[in-house]
Amino acid sequence: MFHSGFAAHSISLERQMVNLRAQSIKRKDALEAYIMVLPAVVLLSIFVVVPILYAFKISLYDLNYYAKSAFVGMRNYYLVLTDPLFKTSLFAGFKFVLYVIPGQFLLSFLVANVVKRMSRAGGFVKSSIYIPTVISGIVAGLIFMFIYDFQGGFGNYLLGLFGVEPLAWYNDTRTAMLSIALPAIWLGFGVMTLIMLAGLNDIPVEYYEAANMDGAGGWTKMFRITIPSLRNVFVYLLVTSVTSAFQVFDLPFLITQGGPLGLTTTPNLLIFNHFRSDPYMGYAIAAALVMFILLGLLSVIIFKVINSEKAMD
Amino acid sequence: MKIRTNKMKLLLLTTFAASMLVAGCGNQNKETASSESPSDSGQATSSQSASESTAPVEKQKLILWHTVTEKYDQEWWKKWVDEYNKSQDNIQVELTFIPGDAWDQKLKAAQATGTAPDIYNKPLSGVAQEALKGTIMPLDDYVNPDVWNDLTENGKKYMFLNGKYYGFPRYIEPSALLLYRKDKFAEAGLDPEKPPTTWDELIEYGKKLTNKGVFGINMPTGEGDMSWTTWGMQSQLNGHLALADDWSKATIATDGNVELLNFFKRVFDEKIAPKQAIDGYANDKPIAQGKVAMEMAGSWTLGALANEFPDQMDKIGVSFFPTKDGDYKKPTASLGGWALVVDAKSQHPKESAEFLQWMFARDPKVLADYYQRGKYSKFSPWKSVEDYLIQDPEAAKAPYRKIIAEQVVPYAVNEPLYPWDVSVAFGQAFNRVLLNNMDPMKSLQQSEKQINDFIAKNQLAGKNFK
Amino acid sequence: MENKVYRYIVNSIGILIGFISLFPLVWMITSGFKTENEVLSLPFKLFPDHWVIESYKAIFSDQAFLRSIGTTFLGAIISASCCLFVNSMAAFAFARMDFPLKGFLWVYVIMTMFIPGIAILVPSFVVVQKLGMLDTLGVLIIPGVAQASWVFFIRQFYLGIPKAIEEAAMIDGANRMKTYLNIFIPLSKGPFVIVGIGAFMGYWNAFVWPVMTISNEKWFQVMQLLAFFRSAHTTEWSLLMAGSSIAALPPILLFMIFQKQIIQGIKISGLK
Repeated sequence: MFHSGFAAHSISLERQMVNLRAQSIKRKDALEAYIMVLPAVVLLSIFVVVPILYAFKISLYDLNYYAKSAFVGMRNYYLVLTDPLFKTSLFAGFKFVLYVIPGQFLLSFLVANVVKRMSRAGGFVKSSIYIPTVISGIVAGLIFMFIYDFQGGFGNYLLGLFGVEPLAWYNDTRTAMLSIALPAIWLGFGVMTLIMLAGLNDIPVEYYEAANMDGAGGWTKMFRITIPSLRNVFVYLLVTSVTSAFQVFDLPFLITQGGPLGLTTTPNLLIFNHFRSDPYMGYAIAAALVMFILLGLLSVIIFKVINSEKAMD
Repeated sequence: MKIRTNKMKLLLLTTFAASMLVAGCGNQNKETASSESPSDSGQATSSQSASESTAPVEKQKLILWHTVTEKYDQEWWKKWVDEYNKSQDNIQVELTFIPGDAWDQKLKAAQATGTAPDIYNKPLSGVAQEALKGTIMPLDDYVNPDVWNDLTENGKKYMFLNGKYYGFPRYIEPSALLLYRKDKFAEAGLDPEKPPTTWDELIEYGKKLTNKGVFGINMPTGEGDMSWTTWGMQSQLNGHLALADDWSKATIATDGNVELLNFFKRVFDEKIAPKQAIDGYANDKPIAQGKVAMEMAGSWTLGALANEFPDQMDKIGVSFFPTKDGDYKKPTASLGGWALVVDAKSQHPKESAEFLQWMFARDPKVLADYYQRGKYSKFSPWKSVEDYLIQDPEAAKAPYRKIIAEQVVPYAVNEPLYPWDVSVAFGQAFNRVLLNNMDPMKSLQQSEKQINDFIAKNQLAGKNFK
Repeated sequence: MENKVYRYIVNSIGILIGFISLFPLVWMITSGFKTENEVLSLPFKLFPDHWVIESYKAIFSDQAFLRSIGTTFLGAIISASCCLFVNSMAAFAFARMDFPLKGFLWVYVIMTMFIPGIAILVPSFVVVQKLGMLDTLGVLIIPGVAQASWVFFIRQFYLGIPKAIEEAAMIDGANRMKTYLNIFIPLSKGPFVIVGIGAFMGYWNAFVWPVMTISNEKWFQVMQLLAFFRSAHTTEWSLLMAGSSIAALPPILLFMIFQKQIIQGIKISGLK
């Protein structure tokens, strides 16, 4: 960029002057640009990049803060990948995703369609489903512990109305996963609904009008127009919600502590438990880095699968 | 529009600048602010202002972290730390309470940077593992050896590890008792002075006491709670806990443990106990509110009851937890409790030891005050304090203390010193039977394998303490 | 006629869902108005028989609680402002300016978006400890100020602003910084509300980080205190629910005030 002005001998002086001025503006511009990105870059370097490099270093050591640490190479990664508990926790993570995401998707899709057809009261619904989103995990955990109380909780009261025996919500192998999935759905479906609603409202009305002329029924319109039009929204939601659900930590930590029988020990909870009980941090950090790679792969797979479908039509 | 823009800019710039300022200053604030006494009670003001004007010498700071438990526990700490700080001019102890939810991360992070508190609390049975990892310091070099002679046998077993002393125990309390409501007994036609003594009786009574909205008994549920609350019973039926003496292998797949598992299964199958303990294990509320007629609970539950529901106390009966054959001279409970330990990297071990001796080995009144606040529901790991309490007429009046002291404590076992993972594996044996209907022996064998794998992976064999 | 019935049904379903979604929160709030004996008593009641304000009174007379609400609010406001400033400025440069190494820096920034929090929890603690930031308001704010996802989000928005607007300003002799401050910021209300509120809530709801970095009770943050509260009052549900209600209130209020912009903004974020 810099020598282009000097390289062109044949151009007129006037032209050169203009070029030089442009360069100085550019240089001034560049300086300004650096000043503007500087705070963000510096802060990210100090609080994200340096720690992740340090984390990578830790993962290569048998790090003990109270004794000499030994360099162990990839041994921590080997331990993680051969640990049956790590595999169980991945399984628990997937199971949690399967509990939360399909339900949340379906619910959000239905609610978005309902709200779209609503008159004035739609505003109320939009707000009331969004409000849980702003609730912290700590508060949500407390509320649901309260709902799951064996004797006076709302959960068992509701079951009682239908003549069902009280459930030991988080202390039953059949319902433990459900009892951490319900608050997750509650916390997350509001945003999902609103995003889907935005997508629904973006579909041109003409599509439906044309379909109506062809005499298409409700289902046909749903599958031929609505769902295909929302594909991009679905991809976005799927990637973000699957990866975040897979990383759930606070709900099992607060509600089930990973039990019963380790069924709700999600990967992040396992990492956390290691982190607090061993003097050696290498394992926990190596496991976290392995998770990072797995999640990246998961996102890529979701993109690939859905985008290849797109390529077909 | 123009004005609004400028306002927004101004707001952004000033807040940004302000935050930088706060960040910078906050740090300095810490240095100056923390040399003041942390006490907030009005009574301290006079002495404080006096010391501020006359004592320019910087006192040596000691950081003490403590988990949050009963209110009276915090009050006791605040009072005596304050007393200690006022009693001399060299050391200033700074007390911080940390919620249990966050204890582990906080301590771990501090240990990672070598900024762990000088002193913190640890469950008695957890001290051994910390000693093994080298995260806490043996105190022999800093403590007058006579001090340790005052420890009871129990206290010594927890603190004297491989020839060294690792901490100051504060109290000992049995983990499992039977509390029951005398009024509910009378209503059900049972003799309020005759609590059940055998498992069969317990279940029979439980059936009679279970009513609409009232459960016969609140029992521990969840593998975490079942792991440690059953240590006494495990010993009762086995004669030992989960590991062989040299920690070389698990020893839990026994007929005795099958019986124990079957007993738990019967209790839940008969529906006399909630499958998810109401308010968790050993809470004082379910029995005080009459949601359950009996409760398996620790002695601390009595302290909580006496503090929070004093008017209910005459309705509450206390007994050893029923045994298989009704003989209380077998272990029914384990003796747990808490101790204070000193971080291995503490820069002030001498001062820490000095403070701990002042608290625990100077005047029995300090600890006695704690037992008094706990309504005499806890027991002392120090002989001198126990002797002092015997003289205390108030202690003699606490109706349950005698029962616990005579029928439970002498026969109870100490908590195991092996890693917690071993106990959890045993807890899972319960849950496989209770929740998945697994055959008890098979479930125990599975846990045994889990434990043996853990032993191999962590090279535990031969590591038991001498 | 049929249309009316249909509309009626749709509206009822929607409103029902709205109520179900709000139910846990309503129960939380009303439980704070019950006595400890009534709070989990049978049969189930949403509203107390006798409204008592003891629990809320206890919270409002708890100095530590009030102080933590105050300091958390202060921190959240500063944090949100810094977030807006730092991230939007970087977003502007990345969206509208040319400079050497721009591509590299952009990848560098975006890369940080994918780093898992749990992997850098302890390393981050080591960093802030080395910087001497423990027990300050700064440690709660500064590490979270720069966020790649927000730089990304605001940049997307700036890319959509017509070039003509700033060219006019450049002709008037305004430099880039001025263009950003005088033209882009005023146009950014939509994304700023989203980022500002997101930063505010992230700060307000944080739990693990404050617990790790703050030991001085003076700076205890609200979720930290709530956990503290939970340890000290394990099953005093009325008190816990009252405390939770108060702790959850500011984000809810903020949402109510800005709900129009937020719902509008979600549209942008979802369809970028």
